[in-house]
Amino acid sequence: MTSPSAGVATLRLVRGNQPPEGAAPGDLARRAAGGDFDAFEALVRRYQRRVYGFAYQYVRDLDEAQDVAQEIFIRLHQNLARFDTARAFDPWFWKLAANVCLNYTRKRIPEPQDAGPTQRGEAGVTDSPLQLALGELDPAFRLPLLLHYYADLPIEEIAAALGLSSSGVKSRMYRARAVLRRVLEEEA
Amino acid sequence: MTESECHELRQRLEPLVDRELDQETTARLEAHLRSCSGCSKAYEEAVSLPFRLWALRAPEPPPALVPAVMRAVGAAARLERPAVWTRPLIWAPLLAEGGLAGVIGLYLSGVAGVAALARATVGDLGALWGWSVGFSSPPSDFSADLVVVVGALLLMVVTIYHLALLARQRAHEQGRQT
Repeated sequence: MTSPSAGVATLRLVRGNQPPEGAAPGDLARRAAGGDFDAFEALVRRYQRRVYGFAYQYVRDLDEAQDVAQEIFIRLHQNLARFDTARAFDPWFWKLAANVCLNYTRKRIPEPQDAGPTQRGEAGVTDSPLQLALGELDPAFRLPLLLHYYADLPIEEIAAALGLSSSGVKSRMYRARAVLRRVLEEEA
Repeated sequence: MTESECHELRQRLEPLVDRELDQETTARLEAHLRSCSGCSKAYEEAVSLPFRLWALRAPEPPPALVPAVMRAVGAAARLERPAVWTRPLIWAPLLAEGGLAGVIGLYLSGVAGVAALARATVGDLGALWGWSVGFSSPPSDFSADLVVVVGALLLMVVTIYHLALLARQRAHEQGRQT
């Protein structure tokens, strides 16, 4: 049993066979769509590091990153039935993650402020100059960069996820990289 | 090396790094890079940036993330399931409650005692009915106290159970609205 706590274990409505360690994400998603909570938990555990990292790079705040990551996984669970198992899981999933981030930005009342060194310092997180510069980028430019360089999504998939043309995504990425270079040069 | 060449290179640095420019433009800009140390340094920075972005690190996810997600989707799944009062299995505990009440009755009075109490209760009820319609006087005593006590206990249990069902119905409706 891989459940982290008894409280979680009681929530398993359907107990399937334990998913194998090397099960493909698409297979886990298919089983999770059928109500297999063990498969869904395996999927969450497999993606939690990348999703939390992606959320953190996007919102630049530890607590908000957890909220966004949690929302991404909840939306994943809600939309599992729409996943086409004949296609790759990652592009579909990261498109969903990008939409959650975009919605989060729209809903957030105050404009993202630097959470300050206190919160990140407490967690022992040290931001590199590049991460700080990335945090200063407009979300419209930050998201394509994160999807491409952090989630390994190709340009075409990013374009589909964000409702942009491929050239539009490239244009944003070039501008974002140029801004980052300029900021890093100034700091150096 | 001219200022306009430097300006053009800075403007097209990113597509140059990604090999997105046509051959002629690429050749011209690369020729400029060989003759301009400032632009060459900027080019090196631009080349390294994607690798640095790929190598970005983030804090470890908090241990509470997975349990929180599983709690949330578990609660959501329970709300999405058919209402509890529409599923016959929800009444299964009543069988257990009835069986338990029978066991308690047997333990307290034995089979003969339970039968006697049941007969007495029927008699009491009959007397009450006769009294209510004017055929007889009210029953003087109730010998079926135990049956009444057990009945009251069962009634209490069933009432609590129904209250729990109503509370779940309310939570279900609120969950559907949100």
